Amino acid sequence: MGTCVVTGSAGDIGGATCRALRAAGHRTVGIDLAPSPEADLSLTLDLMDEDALAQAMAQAGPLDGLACIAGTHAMGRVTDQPWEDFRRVLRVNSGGTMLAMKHAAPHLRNGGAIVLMGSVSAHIATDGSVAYHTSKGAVIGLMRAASGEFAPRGIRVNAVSPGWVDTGFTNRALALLPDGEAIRERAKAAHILNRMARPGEVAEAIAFLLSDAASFITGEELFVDGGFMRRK
Amino acid sequence: MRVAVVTGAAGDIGAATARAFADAGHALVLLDRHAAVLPQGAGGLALSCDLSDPAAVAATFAAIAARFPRIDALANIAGINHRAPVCEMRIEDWDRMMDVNVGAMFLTCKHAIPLMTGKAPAIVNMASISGHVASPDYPAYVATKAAVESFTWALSGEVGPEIRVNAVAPGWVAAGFTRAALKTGADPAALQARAKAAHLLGRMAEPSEVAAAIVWLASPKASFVTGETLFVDGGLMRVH
Repeated sequence: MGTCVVTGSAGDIGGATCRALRAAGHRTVGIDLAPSPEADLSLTLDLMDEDALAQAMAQAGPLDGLACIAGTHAMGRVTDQPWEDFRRVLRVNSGGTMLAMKHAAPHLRNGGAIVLMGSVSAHIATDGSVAYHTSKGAVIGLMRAASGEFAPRGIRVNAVSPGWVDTGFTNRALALLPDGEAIRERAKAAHILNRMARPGEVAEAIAFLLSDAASFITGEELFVDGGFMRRK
Repeated sequence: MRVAVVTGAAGDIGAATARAFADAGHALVLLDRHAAVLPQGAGGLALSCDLSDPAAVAATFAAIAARFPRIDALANIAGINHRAPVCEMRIEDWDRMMDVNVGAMFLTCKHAIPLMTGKAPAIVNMASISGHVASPDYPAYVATKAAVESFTWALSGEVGPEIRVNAVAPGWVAAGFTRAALKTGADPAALQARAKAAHLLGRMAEPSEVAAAIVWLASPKASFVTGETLFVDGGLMRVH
């Protein structure tokens, strides 16, 4: 088993992904603004810094896989969100994902795999998160486009799309809302499985799509949403 | 030991799925109208059954219940195809397609669900990219495969959160008539060329690749995946 790069590796899903990949026998290289205690090698940098990113991918070495998990969020509606906030969310969630693929590409072995972080937010709308919804729609479009671009090298490109995941990211977003706890309870009930995902459950799906067991899956968005999209 | 029931187990995808479940440590119950064979080293049962016959399915699951304390995984793979454009199709052929591709899945789920009492049970149904594209001359197949997905979504809501229900949707698979055509057909090279053009990955799937997705969806590793259709199509849906 070779090396996999995980972006956003200091977060809960990123950390769980490092653990799942290590359990499957991979060496993991974590890239994040903060240190990544779950990765074999932790590289701290800003995904927007292309020179640093290119250097990090070269340092990571020949790659079997890439998991692009880094993401951010900012509350706001079309009519009131500051342009800078909207642009920052798009830059990190979709731009950072594009750049991670761009600079991992020279080091990915033919037949390797890439997994991007989508979301049910690419398909449904909640009021007040316009930037996040927009960015996740962009990630799914990026995944489809990249699946064609990388196919001649046998590199598969897929996305996982979680519903609500019980993470620090979710908790920070809920803490910004006056009725955050009520939203948390409604969020659990919005899934057929009547709960949020654990980070490790999203990580297992990422590890599956990066593995040879998914050798004929590309251009696909795998919902790890506990039936969220089916419950109305 | 987890117990997996595989329908259509005499076919190429069913046999590969049985092998993959056995490799993952399951006892097997293989169901097919034709004789299915237990993979070497695997324990379990292979039963002949017309899965579109309600009485036969009821009797078969009674036999399964007598042998095993529960069912952990059900993979509904049995399916048939029939080529006829709408204006030339007999209703008898349409009914047969619905009975086997949809009705048999309904019947096996109906009888398996009361037995799925263990930890993390799961059902996986066989959909197809055909449920999403125009396949001239195969309207019944397209309709049945779309129905498989809709049924999967409906059932996921009915039996969740206790039981997860998902579908896989393959593109072309080197199985059944396709495998025969690749071996003995008039122009296997032309068939491979069409497969190359149709899929981003430039080839059709091996049955084992579909089986690996089925077994993953049925496993506890997919514990937060339900109501989902997983395309195992080599990117076919992205080619236009």
